[in-house]
Amino acid sequence: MKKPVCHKVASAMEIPADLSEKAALVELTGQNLLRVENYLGILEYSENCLLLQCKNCRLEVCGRNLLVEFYAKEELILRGQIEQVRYF
Amino acid sequence: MKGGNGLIERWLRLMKGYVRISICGGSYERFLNLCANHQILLWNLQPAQKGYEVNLYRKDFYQLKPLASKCRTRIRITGKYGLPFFLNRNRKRKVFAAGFFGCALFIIFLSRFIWNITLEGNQSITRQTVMEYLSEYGVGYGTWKKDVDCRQLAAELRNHFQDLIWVSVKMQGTRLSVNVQENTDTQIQEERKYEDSDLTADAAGTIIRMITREGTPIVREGDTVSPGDLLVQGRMEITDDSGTVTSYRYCAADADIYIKTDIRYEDEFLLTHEIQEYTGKKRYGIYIGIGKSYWGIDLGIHRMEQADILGKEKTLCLMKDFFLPLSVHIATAKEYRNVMRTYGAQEAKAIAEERLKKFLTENEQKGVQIFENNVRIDISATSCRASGTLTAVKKTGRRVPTEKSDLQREGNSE
Repeated sequence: MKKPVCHKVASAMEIPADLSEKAALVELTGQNLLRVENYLGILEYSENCLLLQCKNCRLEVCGRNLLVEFYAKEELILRGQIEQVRYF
Repeated sequence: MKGGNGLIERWLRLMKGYVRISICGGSYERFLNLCANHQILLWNLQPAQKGYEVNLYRKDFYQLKPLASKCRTRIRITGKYGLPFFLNRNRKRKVFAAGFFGCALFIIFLSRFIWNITLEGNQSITRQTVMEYLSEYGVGYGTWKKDVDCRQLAAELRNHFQDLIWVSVKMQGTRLSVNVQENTDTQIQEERKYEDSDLTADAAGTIIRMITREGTPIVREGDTVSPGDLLVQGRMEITDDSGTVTSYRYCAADADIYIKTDIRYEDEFLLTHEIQEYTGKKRYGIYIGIGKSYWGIDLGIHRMEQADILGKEKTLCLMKDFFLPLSVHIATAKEYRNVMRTYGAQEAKAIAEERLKKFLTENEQKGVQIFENNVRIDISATSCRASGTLTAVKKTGRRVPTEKSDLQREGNSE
């Protein structure tokens, strides 16, 4: 797939992808805390699964006793027993 | 990280006030995304039986109505938390509010006084001495903080206590911290100027070493002296060419004189003695102190005939340095009874030896060197007696005023 010119420029300037392409930024601390930035919204949420819509993909977090500790436009913090993180 | 459940965030949420709502019916996910897009912060989002439960700020709750109707969701408040709700619930309790503000004002008022004084760095000067001086100066518990000039107080302490070479006084909350540094340099103390004086013997013995720095030596090494004998005279004779004394020059005699002397050691104690035997019974007393007055309850201490009473005091303190004039005292009394006991021969001998050892150590610390120990320990039917002589070398030289002659003084000392 051909990259747009703006992405090429950003890549040449070594601008991180989360800034230039608004790629999802996922930070996983241990097995219990997950922080996501650059997402568009929640598609599905239950105690065992959280499905997020990102700009270029979807992010699925599976686990047990999942609790959205903080939810705002810029950031989402998920706490619980995280077992799987999947992009599709 | 903007979010999170840290202590500060929790306090902030409680101060602003927040509600827990239940969301049901319609499209939950769309509703949540709309909230996020409208800058409404949500936290502790959890799936519930018929939808979700989530927390949000009180002020954000009023924005939810159009969003909920757009998504056809129903919103129900399940809990209200925080200060605005607390004040609203208790709006009729005027006395409580008055008491709360009165208490706050009282604490602010108390914070204007000194309720704790710490003293650090003192070695020879006791805390009691310093506290007495501070009291004379008008600084003590309950003194108005504004009236205390720390810099001036430090200067006054330095002037009053000559041994203090450094004093720092600072105010921390309701605590007055006094830090001092004492002069421990003995050499400086020894260099004090004395008046014109002689050195005399303070014990009988033989002089084994003598170094005279100032004055006229009267005795020499090997001489035997008695207590009161003149060793170094603070008067120096000025003679003319014929050897006739024309005048005197006076000074403070200065010399290191070591004599070999016998020290008499006598120590006697009874074999039968009284000891305190604890019965194992303990009683307590709890007292509350306000200022210098104490009130409390005594849980059986007064019923004990003989008891050792240990007290623990805790001054109430808000934060780190805000000491209140309120303290709690806990007294623990351990009951004992006096029992007569007799030392065995070995035990008595060990005690006598221990006491002799302590005596020798004390003398050694004073610079006395013990050469010979002729102390005998005798145990009779009723007592134990240690007696004998110790041969020692010690520094001598007691300063006495010089006897002034009628002859004219020499030079500028006239």
